[in-house]
Amino acid sequence: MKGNYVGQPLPRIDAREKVTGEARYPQDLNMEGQLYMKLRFAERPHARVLSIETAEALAVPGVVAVFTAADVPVNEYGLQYPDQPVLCGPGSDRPGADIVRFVGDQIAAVVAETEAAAEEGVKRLKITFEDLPVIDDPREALEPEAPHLHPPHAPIAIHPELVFEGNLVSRHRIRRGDVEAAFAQADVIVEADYEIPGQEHAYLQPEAGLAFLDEEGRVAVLAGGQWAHEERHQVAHALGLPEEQVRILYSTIGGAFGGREDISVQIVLALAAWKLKRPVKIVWSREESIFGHHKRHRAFVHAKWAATKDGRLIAAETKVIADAGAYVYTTNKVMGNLLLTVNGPYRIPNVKTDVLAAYTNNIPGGAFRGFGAPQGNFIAETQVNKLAEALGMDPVEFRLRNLVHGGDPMPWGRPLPDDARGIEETLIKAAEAIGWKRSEQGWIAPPGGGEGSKRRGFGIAAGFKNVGFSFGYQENAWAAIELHGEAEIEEAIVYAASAEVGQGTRTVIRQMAAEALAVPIEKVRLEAMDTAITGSSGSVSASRMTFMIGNAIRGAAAAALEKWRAEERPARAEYVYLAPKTTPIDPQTGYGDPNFSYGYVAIAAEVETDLVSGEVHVRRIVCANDVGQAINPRLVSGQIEGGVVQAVGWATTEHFIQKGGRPLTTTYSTYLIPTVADIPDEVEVIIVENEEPNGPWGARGMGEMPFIPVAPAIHHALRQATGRWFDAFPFNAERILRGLRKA
Amino acid sequence: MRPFDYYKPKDFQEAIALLSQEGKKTFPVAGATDLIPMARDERWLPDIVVDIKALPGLRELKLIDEGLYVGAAMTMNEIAASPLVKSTWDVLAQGASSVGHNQVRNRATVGGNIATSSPAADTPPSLLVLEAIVVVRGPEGERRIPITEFFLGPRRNALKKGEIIVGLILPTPPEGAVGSYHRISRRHGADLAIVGVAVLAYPKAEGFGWRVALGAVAPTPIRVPQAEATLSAAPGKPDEAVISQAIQEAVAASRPIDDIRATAKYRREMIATLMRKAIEDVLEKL
Repeated sequence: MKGNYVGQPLPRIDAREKVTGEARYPQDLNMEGQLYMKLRFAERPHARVLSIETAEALAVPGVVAVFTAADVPVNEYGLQYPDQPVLCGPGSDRPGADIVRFVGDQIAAVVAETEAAAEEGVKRLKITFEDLPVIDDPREALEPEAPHLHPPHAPIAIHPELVFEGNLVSRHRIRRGDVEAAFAQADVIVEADYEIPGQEHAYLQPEAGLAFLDEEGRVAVLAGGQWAHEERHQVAHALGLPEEQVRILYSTIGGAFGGREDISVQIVLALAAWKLKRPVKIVWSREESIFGHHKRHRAFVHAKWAATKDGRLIAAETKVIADAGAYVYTTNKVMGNLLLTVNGPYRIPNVKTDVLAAYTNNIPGGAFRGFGAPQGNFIAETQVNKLAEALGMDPVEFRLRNLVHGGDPMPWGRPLPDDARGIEETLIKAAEAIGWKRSEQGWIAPPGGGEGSKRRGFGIAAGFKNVGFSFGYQENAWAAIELHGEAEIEEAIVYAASAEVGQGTRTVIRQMAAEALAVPIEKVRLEAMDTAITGSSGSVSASRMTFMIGNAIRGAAAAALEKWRAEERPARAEYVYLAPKTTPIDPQTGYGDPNFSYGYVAIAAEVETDLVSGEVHVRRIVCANDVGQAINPRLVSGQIEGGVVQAVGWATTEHFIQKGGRPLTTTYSTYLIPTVADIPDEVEVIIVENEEPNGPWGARGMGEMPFIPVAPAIHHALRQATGRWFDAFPFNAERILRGLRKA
Repeated sequence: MRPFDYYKPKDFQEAIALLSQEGKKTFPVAGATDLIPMARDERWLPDIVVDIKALPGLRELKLIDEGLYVGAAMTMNEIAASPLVKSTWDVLAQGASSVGHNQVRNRATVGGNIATSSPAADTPPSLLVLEAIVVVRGPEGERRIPITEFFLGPRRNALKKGEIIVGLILPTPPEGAVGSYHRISRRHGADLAIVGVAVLAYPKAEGFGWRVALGAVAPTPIRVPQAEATLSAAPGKPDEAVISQAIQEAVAASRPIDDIRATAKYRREMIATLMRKAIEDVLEKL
């Protein structure tokens, strides 16, 4: 539903300060008397820390303190499960905390009057290690003879999928119908092994922060994150403090994409500031950022799907083994989303899905735009494209015959909540925009072709993903509105914790508040990103923030206006929006009602490859995305273009390589994000608006959607261009040529 | 980054004296596009850095009796855009325009590109087929080093302590010569070459003379004499059989490695692909 502000393509409110350089990122912030911190990272994938000698480091002029495991009150943390020591080494009472389990584990924090002294101090630390056997493949980690990388963890009731059996971190499954019986009746069966790569977030701003004691004696951490209140919880837990004693503030944040969902610098900074009673600052280098924070999960897959010759999908059997890396992070939740997306948005009566994640000594797997859906979607959409081909049926046609409609149950036993008409609409719009034609005989794909050694092909993939975390978790978001003035509202102050990570939340919050209050947007001021003055809005992730905070603002605005009419001055109201109820899924069958809302998207791709070099160039991507209602169409377009480009990088140039637990791509000369010469020549944005009944003004989540089906659409286009399937990516020149040379 | 002393002398005497100091790690720099990232990571630890951009003659690009003189501090973009270079030595312009990205090409110099002596550098294959001569000044005066004798190994070359590359002499190639440089990298912008191939050909009394050089497939950039001889022995334009044989000989002369950018196997295939493209380019223009 459009309004005076909702649905309007306003320029983002922080555009000017970012373009001019006025915007202040964590590394730009300084305080009088601040100290500098440098960390000693493990730099080895698996070892016991036998001893840490700090005397020489402390003797470096300017070094003020060295913190080790012995100094951390409660030496553990973790977003889903506290399985990671804050500092690894001897001296804490937590079992297994003397072991480093990946190269980015932190061992000691050196704090000094200057950055150079801190750096020198780190070099002077004398650490003795006993190296332990390294597991760098999740499939090996699950072998019975594999050594266990963690002491036994106790499963916790709220996360039944966290199983902790040996190195098995989480297990999800769906059991529906009888796949074996269906295979016996199938006309075509497509069976394949897939290998899906990890990915580095490559945000512009490496991790940095400043911690200090505020005027009320709280330890405050000013950094960049995605969920301030959760960080407050984790910092308080590790420091053994009540949460009220900890404050988290965000400055301008240089991108996140899920990579700031877990703790990086916050706890060690808070620890040092709390103990030393002085401000402490840290700035990670790019290399530290790349090995120090988690990655998209790498996954190994076996899939066997079946259809009948009239074009009906009848069975899907899929097994996924994902690399959780050294610690849980959000692995169990990422795998839950992978489970829901790996069978696609299709009616499949017989489904057997197993999604396993295992500990290794690699960099942890964790949140990254799409949160399991890109991996699941690559499998589903590639299987569907292959089945259509095996049936001699156009892939658009085949999808239209199998998409869920109305009350069709998904593999977890429930229909999508709002009849999901956006799936079909986005599919048709994307396909037509790139050249698919409807005829009396059905859909016809655009022909490939090319001159000389160049060949072009076209591909299609459809996708969906849940909005919000859910799986029984009661999604919630807090907002408050304060109306100032006498006869008229002169100023409306919105309080919301929503983190601005570049997606534009500060702009759309003001648009939604102005709309809800019916005041000019110039009168709306936003106070955000400080736990001292806001309640929790939850994380900016899972494509949830516009949906959640929009509803919270509507509630707060209605309540504040009521008080305003009752002559309260200022009129202040707080509101906590609770999303519709969901349930966990059954650990044995996968049945349940895990989410209250979904986003829908389709990608069509035109790709060119060179048969003599294997080079790949993505010429054109069309993204049709059902966003419910674009609160700000300009920002939606930006999210779509950015998501597509990031996914083109994952599919083509990027390749995060780890060998023996050591990352080989810790610089941007080895880890190649696409340059302007590598991105698609054209990204066509089609905004589809089927209102979400529970969304604010009909909006549904969209931030992750454009990423999701890009890789399988490119894979499909390469099939037409080369006559080959590749089943693993990135689709770089060497892989394409190797595929072409195969008999 | 470890601190170092930085000088920007205006005459050779001072520059050479600074660079010749015993017991100090001294380095000449121009664009420093390769060295600064290494200094930051402390993979390069100089005591004294001498900026040579202000030295006389280093920014000259002029015709001389022997051909073209290119000052060592001429940037990649200046060379790539120079009508003089493009007129007769175009294969060097092609190599220079392939380096890094635009910002790097605005700073990186041709002297630096060879002084770094990376096997994957983009101008050396072109300089090899142009039979460039490196002009060097040092404590013992000026000397000239043929480009074929300049590179000794990865990041190793024939320069002695205190010596500065002042320029390159590009002899005028035989009448009617045309050249082509092709390279492949993992992405289109700002990435090191996986393979680079330069080809130059010119009419001679019977048939054509051919020169071929390869980058990124051996410890140094290399000429491939056997392949050149095969192509040059053809009575006219080489036919498919001759081209295939020459390509095989070039591949056999290479010694590529497996690394993070590509396997040796792929590099060998790309020698074939790029050499064929370069030969086809040249044949079209001959």
